[in-house]
Amino acid sequence: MERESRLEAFGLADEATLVGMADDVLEDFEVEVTRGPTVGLLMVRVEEPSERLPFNFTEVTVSEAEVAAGDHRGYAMVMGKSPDRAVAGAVLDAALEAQHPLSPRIETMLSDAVAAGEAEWQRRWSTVAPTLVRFEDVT
Amino acid sequence: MGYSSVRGGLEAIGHAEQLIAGAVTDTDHEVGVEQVPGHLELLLDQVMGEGGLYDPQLGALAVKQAEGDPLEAGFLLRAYRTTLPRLGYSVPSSGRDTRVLRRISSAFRDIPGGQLLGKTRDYTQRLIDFGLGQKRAPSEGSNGTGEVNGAHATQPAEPLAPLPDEDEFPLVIDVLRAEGYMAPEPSEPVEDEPFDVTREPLRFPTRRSARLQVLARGETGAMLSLAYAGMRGYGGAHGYIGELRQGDLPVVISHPVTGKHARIGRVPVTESYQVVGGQATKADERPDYTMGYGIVTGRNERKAISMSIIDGSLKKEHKTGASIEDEEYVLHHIDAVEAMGFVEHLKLPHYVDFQASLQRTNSVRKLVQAARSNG
Repeated sequence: MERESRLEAFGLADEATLVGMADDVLEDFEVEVTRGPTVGLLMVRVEEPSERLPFNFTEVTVSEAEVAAGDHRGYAMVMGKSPDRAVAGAVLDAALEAQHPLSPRIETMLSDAVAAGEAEWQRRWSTVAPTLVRFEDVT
Repeated sequence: MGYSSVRGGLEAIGHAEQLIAGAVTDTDHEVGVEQVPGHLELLLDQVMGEGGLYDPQLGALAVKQAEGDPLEAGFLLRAYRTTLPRLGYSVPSSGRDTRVLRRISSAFRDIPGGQLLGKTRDYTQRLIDFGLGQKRAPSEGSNGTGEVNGAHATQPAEPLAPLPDEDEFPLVIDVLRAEGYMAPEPSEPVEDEPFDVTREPLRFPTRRSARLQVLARGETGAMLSLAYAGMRGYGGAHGYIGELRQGDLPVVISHPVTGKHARIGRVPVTESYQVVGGQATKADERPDYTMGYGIVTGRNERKAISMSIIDGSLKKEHKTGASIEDEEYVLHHIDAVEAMGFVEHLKLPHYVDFQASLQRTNSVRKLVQAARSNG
């Protein structure tokens, strides 16, 4: 999984599982929290399509944290008021960057979370797919 | 009847506050906050949109606390957001990247990808369903429709459908562009830093980025009323819905370590692309059609369509003088918090003001009586 894809995976994963995994990592992995955890606002920008004009659409609450582990930085931003999830995500991000021995388990957990998110999207899509109109020519 | 300053009422205010606090908790069937997204989804979407803050958990709390009053709940969200730091701005997302769950065009029948009705009441009769008043087993659905955004979606009767391709639902306005009816898409986005009305007060004339932000936070009813008036003749705003789409818009940030784009989640949105004709003249070769744009959080088609109608009217080069084309009139009167605050402040004591008014009236009366007695 690419590093940029981890952020959404942190948001999709079960929080207890994510925090539990971070606790396991921290048993032999020292980190310093360098940012947050902070609950704050992210302004979501949208590009108006006819002029390609960006504008400020709405704010969303986000939780953000960053940790340092030696030369490695770990970062997480997740949607919603969830500082524990953000710190756990940052720890796991740093652990993956440092190739911690638990990395394969972390990767599996994150991949499973993304797969569950995709499965939920397919379930939702399947509820609306039958509403696609098929016109019948009656002339 | 003179005025003397008094104090008091604190005890009465305290009791009144208790009545409000108990209104949502002193009941045998208290509504759980977790029930709001599943059962009052449209109300929640309206509140988050007008509050300018997407957070379903906070929005649900606000709805419950406000006893279902959308304006009051939006006010609560606006107040809460002022306590949080701004952590940054997202990378601009495009409706092209939306995961589509509903998408129709009333301008074209055959559109690439087809008309996807999704979750809609548009083709149903508006009859009260008395069956909803009956107690049902937990697994028994009300009418068999699937949910789109709700957490309590019914399982589809059919097997899982194959997912659509990423480019399955291109924008309908691209059809008009391809035919030369609408200006081609700019190759690069506009680079101006967007105006942020949460940081700077509005100044007129505004930039379009400011207008779109205010409209996106506007009150549904106020915007509907303006759009309705514009369509009926006060502004000639009757265009066509080139496309109306609902789905999940990606929220993307610039990763602070790698600098690359990274998606952190998605926000459900409704977009309206209002096609406005009659732009071409003999004097120039402008494209025949332009576009008004509307976007709101969640499922609020009424507001999205209204926004696109108002945006299209404000963009007009040749104005008719109608209110819907006057940005100062529109932008100053569609904000729910400002409007309700100003109108409802009349409930607060105005004893001194009214005393002054009575004194003026009495003075005028005396002058009139004196003038009459003097013949």
